[in-house]
Amino acid sequence: MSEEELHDLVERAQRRDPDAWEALYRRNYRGLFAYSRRRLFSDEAADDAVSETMTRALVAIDRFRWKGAGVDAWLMGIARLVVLEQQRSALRRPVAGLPLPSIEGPLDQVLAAEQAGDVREAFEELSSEDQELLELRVVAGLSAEGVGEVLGKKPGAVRMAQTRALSRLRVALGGVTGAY
Amino acid sequence: MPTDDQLLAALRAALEPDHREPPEAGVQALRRAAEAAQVKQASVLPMRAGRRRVAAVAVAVAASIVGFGAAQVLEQLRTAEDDGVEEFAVRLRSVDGRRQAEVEGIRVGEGRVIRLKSDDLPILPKGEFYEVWFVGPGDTPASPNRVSAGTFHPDDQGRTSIVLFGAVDPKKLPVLEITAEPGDGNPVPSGPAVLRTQLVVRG
Repeated sequence: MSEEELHDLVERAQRRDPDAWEALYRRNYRGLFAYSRRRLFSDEAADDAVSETMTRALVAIDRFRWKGAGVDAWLMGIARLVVLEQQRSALRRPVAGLPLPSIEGPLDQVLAAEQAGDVREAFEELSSEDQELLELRVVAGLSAEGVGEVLGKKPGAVRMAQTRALSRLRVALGGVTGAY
Repeated sequence: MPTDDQLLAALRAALEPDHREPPEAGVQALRRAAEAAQVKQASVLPMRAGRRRVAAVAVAVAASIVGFGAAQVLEQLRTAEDDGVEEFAVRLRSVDGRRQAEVEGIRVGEGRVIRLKSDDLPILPKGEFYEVWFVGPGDTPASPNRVSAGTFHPDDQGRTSIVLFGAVDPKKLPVLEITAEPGDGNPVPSGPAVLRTQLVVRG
């Protein structure tokens, strides 16, 4: 979707056009669900968080302003608060990771599953700040500008923080596998 | 030694959940909420006169919060909007008198719509938010007797105009309080009340 088309979509959303809201929902579902699922205990809780995010966005869309990172980062900022509130209200702890995939199957699947397990193990050793930044970049698919808007940082600071987080991940992976 | 791009790709493969399509019920619930908001969008009225809009927004919020397939709740709320009964309308002030907010509580069916407006609540740092509480007798940090009515943020200009929806009985929890909360995952009120008032509940 071009920048012009995205602006048009937001304008229609501000008029509460149901088609525009459906498009926004479908466009952002993967990233919102992935981020929420990483931090909540079940698929259902993550779906609820996405639903709550879109509902709040529907009420608040008139206050949305284009500031560079765009509507996707704005929605992710709402999702971040919704997830925090869900954790807070239910004393839920962030889930350490998704269930490990089955390691049965052809050799390449086994190797991929083992590598994914190593990466997850190393990732859990990072600080919560490093984890959240990498989740927003990698799992939610936001740009550095988008992550900056969600976390209240400048894009340059996000890039620096990402480089440092990846360095720490590299070290943690070395500890897990001895290979890095 | 993996490059940053290789590490990011490995992270994506390791952390991303299985692909899921958006639940169709969620799509339809959002469409219904948008339609309800669209119908009522033109009627932006002053606080006291705006009950129909309050109910419309509450219907939209309820449609998605209550869950998918909440058509019955929607319909009940729609028909109940004209029967809404104002239970309280108060002005909350800070101790120093510099901050204030208007809050109106309307009973709609078995639920309550709480409408809050303020132009001078400070904008909080990212990750922090305000929380509205109904507080009952004997509430202390060690033995809380309070129910959260929801959380909110002022907009970029420091204005707040929000609608919350809940089922708290203000006769049983007759103090309204707003606290500023850090995003620390702790559900206990974290600081002194920013605004607080005793409610005089009608009916």
